[in-house]
Amino acid sequence: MGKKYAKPPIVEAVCEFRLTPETRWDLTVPGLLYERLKKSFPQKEQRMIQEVELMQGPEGLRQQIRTSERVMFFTEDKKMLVQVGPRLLVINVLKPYPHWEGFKPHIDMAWKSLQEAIEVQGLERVGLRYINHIELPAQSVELAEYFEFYPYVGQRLPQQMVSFLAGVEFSYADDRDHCRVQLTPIPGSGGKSLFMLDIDYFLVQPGAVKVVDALAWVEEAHSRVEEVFEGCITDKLREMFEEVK
Amino acid sequence: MPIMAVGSEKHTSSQFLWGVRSGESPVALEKPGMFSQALTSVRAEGLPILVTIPSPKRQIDTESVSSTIYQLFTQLQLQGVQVSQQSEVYEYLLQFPDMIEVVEQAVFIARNHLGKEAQLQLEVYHDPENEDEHLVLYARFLAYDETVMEKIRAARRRYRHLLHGKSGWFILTTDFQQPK
Repeated sequence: MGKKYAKPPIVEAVCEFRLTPETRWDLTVPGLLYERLKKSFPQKEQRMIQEVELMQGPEGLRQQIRTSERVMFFTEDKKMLVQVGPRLLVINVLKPYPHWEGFKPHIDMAWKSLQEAIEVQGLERVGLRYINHIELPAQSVELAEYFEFYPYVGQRLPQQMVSFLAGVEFSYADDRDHCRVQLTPIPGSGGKSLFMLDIDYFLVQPGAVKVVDALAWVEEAHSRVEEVFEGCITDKLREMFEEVK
Repeated sequence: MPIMAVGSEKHTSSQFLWGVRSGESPVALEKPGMFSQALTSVRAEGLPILVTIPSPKRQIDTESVSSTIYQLFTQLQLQGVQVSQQSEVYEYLLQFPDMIEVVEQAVFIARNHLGKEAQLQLEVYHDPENEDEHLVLYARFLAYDETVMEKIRAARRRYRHLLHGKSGWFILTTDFQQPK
């Protein structure tokens, strides 16, 4: 069990399930899901998402516009939403973060509701992502005071940076899973320093997690994300977040 | 208005900060000129698209509202719209996520009605008399005449229906200032 904070820097947490192509999907699925979720997620919206696909063919470069529908179900206060697209289920929670005890039940509910609505054949990808916004009190800060993860700049380079993007990807569970970590400053923050710490833990090998084990994987992913988060910050930041003991 | 993103399901994409989408495409890597030709062709259809940068790895990121907001910022930038105090606008849209699509479409409508000569700036307005706040899109011109407000009202009529049932608020207006 990880640490709990009175002022967690989480602005958004996301759990995503992408299903393998063998899973049958049609336009009725979002409606079936809504019937099961509407007590908790009564507000419904939909939008079209289009992507231009570029393909190299014998006749040259070809572009194709692909359209898909995305349906979103919101809680009354719009702090949590479920998004449904073709073979895609996403559960987002926005700040204030209700802690894992408040988020996990909604993941469970959405996933089980989907399984009741359709026969899920396999998992292409599962992801658990935490986006943190960390505000530091000064405009110019020493990153090493607050973070254990930041870009290293050699002595022969300018030591003052106006911006950066630091990213790594770690391997877990014999490369079944990866965890992508990114740290970058956020522009337009006024007189303070604002950083985004983005931790995305995801299944890399399609089908490596059985459908029946999906929720167990999510629980394990959460533990890994907690470990990575703690590994990225110093005690000085922990004090700012005010650990609840 | 649909989101246009240059990408491919086969060549999956990864999002970096500020909504810049990075897509792996062998075509782009080997023949970047052809890639930019395709982008030009899509632009000719009058559809705003996200900037795509080829990356060496296939990546999908777990979808997030935050990423969608940063994508919107990039899209607005491509349309020549300034976002003042980006972190404030981000916080507003995170608080009222159903407004993301409203902003996307309303700004497109505004640009269509007001033309390229209008400088558009999106920011969060704080009511000095209470704690109310909402999004405001300021349109500024080098010269003002009677047609300016007519165009603004016409644009408002076009996007007004988007606000029905939404948790936040958005308004297009002008403060009669010079473009900054």
